[in-house]
Amino acid sequence: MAKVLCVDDERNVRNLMKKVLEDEGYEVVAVSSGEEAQELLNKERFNILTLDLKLPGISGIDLLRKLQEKGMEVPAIVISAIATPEAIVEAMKNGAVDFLSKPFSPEELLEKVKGALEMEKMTFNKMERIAKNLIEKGKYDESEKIVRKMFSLVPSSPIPHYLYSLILSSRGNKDLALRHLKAALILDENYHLAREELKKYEEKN
Amino acid sequence: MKKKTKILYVIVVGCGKMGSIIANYASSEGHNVVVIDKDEKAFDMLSPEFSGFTILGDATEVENLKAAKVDRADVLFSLTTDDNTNFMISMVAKHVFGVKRVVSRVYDPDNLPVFQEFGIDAICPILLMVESLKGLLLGE
Amino acid sequence: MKVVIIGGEKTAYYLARSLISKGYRVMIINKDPVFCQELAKKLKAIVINGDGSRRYILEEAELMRNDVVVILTPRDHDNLIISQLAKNLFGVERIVSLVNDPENVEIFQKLGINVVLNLTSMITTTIENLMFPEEMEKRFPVEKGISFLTLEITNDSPSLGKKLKDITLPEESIVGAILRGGVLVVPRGETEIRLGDKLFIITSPDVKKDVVKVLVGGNGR
Repeated sequence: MAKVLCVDDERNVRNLMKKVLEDEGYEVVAVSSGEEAQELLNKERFNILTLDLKLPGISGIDLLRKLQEKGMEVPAIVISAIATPEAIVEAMKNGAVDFLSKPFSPEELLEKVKGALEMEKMTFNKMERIAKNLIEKGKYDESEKIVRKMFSLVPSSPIPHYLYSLILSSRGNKDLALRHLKAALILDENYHLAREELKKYEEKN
Repeated sequence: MKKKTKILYVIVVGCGKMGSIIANYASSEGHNVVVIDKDEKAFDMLSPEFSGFTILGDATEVENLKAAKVDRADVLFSLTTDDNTNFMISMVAKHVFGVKRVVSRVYDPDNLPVFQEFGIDAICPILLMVESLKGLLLGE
Repeated sequence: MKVVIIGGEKTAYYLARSLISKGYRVMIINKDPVFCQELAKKLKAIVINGDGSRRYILEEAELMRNDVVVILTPRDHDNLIISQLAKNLFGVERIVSLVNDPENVEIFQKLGINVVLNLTSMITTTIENLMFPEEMEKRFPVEKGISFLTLEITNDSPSLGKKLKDITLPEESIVGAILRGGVLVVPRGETEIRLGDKLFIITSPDVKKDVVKVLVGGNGR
């Protein structure tokens, strides 16, 4: 069964996470600092990491960054009392796959953990299909989560850039969308989907 | 171990003797508990097994109730040591955020009618004790 | 009919003094015994030393339905219960309460208190009004063809005592607002320019000098 590493400096939160997740059949290890988490991640394999942003010693964001640098692929869910848009964006930029604000209900926690596990199982191609599908259905936020994962899995692929440009475009951020299209073409000048999309922009202007 | 009783979202304001015992109990019964207190040391009274959330802040400031997600609460206990403070917190919880069950500790029996008038369940430790004493006297 | 003032210190005193001079019957309820003694000496009012959030004190005050209750303590949670006691136990219909935390204003209003004063908001608004020209300059830099002026009217100002409609200002300018004694006055044709007024003017840079001349004379600002 899936193994979860919980990092939170509050004992009551660690208790809660253990209780909820163990009840659902997960194996849980709970630690109170980023340093302890790093040690464990080096030794054992975990399927999911949950962490608070506010930690003694190394902060949650810094821990995420370090993990990204080392190329560690553990999906991380950030759980924090500070749920401002800035904090969420910062977390996602540093590789978090999801965000949960405190206080949360057991149902919410389980939903997020399940979601993160689902993501881990997918292959890159499958992700592409699913992301495209979601974009067609207009579910941009959900597809964004998958596209971000794609960026980190295969950084040299033009596909996530193309998909992301579609998402940005739908949100009205044409400038950034255009940049991603161009990036896709730099990575692969024969990527025709990106080229078509670029033509559309150029026609409009 | 699955519980048969419904799991409630419980907010406890005031982590003194009363508050901490209620919070510990509710948590052990499997409810989702959030404890609010303006004194950090008060949370030390929670048992090591307490699994829930703590929020450091003055509950008469709406932002702290919002941080506790009071609009989702099934029950709110206002257990601070001041009746007027409990009154305000209870009123806000019940009449602004619509919490169905609001229970307040009331020290002065004279204040009970106002709480009851507004649909706030009031528990007056003094009265409870008086009832017990009366019982003792009658029993003699 | 009496006005019952509960809590507050200096404010309670000045308010009571003012109301008494206008002929109202005033009663003061205050927790501080020393303050109560002083009040009793200085004012022609009934002074009760006690906690206004206690029912028996309000009973002692013989609160009537047609009384006006003014609540001035610095603690919103005390003010709230006093207002509810007055309203529900004594049927008082006119209750004015100080609300210290701006976040609580909505709550008090939702709970049916007629008038609610929030000092912090009022002061903030006044400060913001004073900062208006600087704020506007930040948002509309001068290059875009707009200038903002703050001009204070002194004894030498040619516009002193004149009505706005009688002052000839250049076309590309307008008096946006007048700050008079800390209060914002919306300028209209009939508005008379008074000593000490601070005029906030929106004007095109070309006619700035003319505006200054017409309103305050040679040397502006």
